Amino acid sequence: MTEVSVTRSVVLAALAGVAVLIAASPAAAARNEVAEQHVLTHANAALDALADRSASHSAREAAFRTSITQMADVPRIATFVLGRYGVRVRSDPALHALWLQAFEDYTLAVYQDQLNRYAGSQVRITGSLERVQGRDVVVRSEMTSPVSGRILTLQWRVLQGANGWRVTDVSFVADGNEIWFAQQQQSEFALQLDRTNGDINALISGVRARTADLRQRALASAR
Amino acid sequence: MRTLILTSVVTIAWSGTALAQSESITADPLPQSAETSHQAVYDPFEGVNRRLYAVHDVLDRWILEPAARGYRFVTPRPVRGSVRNFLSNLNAPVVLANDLLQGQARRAGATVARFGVNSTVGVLGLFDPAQSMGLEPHTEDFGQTLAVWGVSEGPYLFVPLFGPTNLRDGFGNVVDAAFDPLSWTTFEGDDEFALTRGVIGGLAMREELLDPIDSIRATSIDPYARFRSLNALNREGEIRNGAAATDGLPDFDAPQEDDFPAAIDAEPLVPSTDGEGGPALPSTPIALNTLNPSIAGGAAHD
Repeated sequence: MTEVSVTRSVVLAALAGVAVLIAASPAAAARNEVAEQHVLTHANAALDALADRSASHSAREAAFRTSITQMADVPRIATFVLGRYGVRVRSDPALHALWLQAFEDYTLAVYQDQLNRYAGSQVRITGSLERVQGRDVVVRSEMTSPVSGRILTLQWRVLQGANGWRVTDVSFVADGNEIWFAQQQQSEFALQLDRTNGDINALISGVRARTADLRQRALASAR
Repeated sequence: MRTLILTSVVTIAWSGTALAQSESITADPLPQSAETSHQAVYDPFEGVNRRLYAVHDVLDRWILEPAARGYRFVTPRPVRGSVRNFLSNLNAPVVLANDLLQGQARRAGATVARFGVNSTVGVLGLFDPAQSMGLEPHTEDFGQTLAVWGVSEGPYLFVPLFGPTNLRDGFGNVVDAAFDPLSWTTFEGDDEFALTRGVIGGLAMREELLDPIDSIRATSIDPYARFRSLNALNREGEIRNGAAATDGLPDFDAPQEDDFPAAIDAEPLVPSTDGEGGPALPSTPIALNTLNPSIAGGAAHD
């Protein structure tokens, strides 16, 4: 009797162990804690910078810029969003520098405009998925709107590059839908470039104009 | 306008007005959504659409937006939430019909259960107790049903006061309206109910979109392009009925061919069909079930 009972216990324990291993192993293999930590540190630093009411508007902007440029690979994104027109910028260093500066200013202004609504909240990491081991990770996170209390689900595409892990895209998820921001920008810029026969300078002008509007808006809301 | 709210659901997230937590990360196949979304949107009437968008923009700034701001000003947030719940509950027959037409028995069951709970415990749909019981809301429409059946989206259309759509989804909206029993219901011989429902529904939707549309206008270098691609991406997600996917993300470092080299200093390669110049977009509509192989078998979260 005893022998049968021991055997049954062992079998049950073994099955439970196998089940736990099966359940746990894919998730454990998929996560990348270094990428998660990169997002957590810099995203919260950016939100803290926006929430710091003791600092002047320009000081807040400077701190926000520092956090974002440490978090994201802005030059890589700047080339990506030009899509098939990127080759024109890569072959012209002067134009490349102009585009990079205009895009960085625009991106920071857009992020600041959007994230201002979440200033004071904190990003919480909820998981990550390693698409390519050690190189390409999607980090999943949440943050809560301090105004409405709603929870925003964000995904961060984090790629390994020359400067370590850097965010290259961010998406928000609602009701199963997701929009990746850099991809959306690429689509919008491509249509604009198509309409102007690929005139990068015209795109730079448009981006600068929009950046100026956004800065005015940020200044007005800071008053 | 209904399409407009669907289009902007994702930007609502940024403005923090309406969000739901979603499913966990999955690795379902996803089309190369963004870079191709620009190419995938079949917009042969772009010139006309842009003019219609301009008309819509003026009407919106002078009529719809002020009305929506007034509505927001005079109604507290819980009241607006109840109005949305009520209107959503009235739409349950349309959702149910499309659940069934798509062969989604489990979702159809959820729609029936939600309608039953919210119409009774939820006081004629003013509240949504079904959600707290685990019955998450979802939307379905005949445009999605047609997509599931393999119908291509057809040309992109921008309809003033209605928003971005395409031939398939526009037709779907007409069918949904025709199918909706409340479209034909009259009370004591007059049809004021349908009219009132339409006006309040439009106001409620535009109010919900105040922040997202404001954001698009502020941040976009080309709001027409933004609405167009958001509509395409949003509809992809709705048709997929699915959780977020990560498999189809683009390669950030892949060199992309400049496939319009002759267009830099020359006339447009192909005259667009609207006579405005500029290279034409791909001339063949891309079937959505080609774009997204998981359309018919998506997860149960809309």
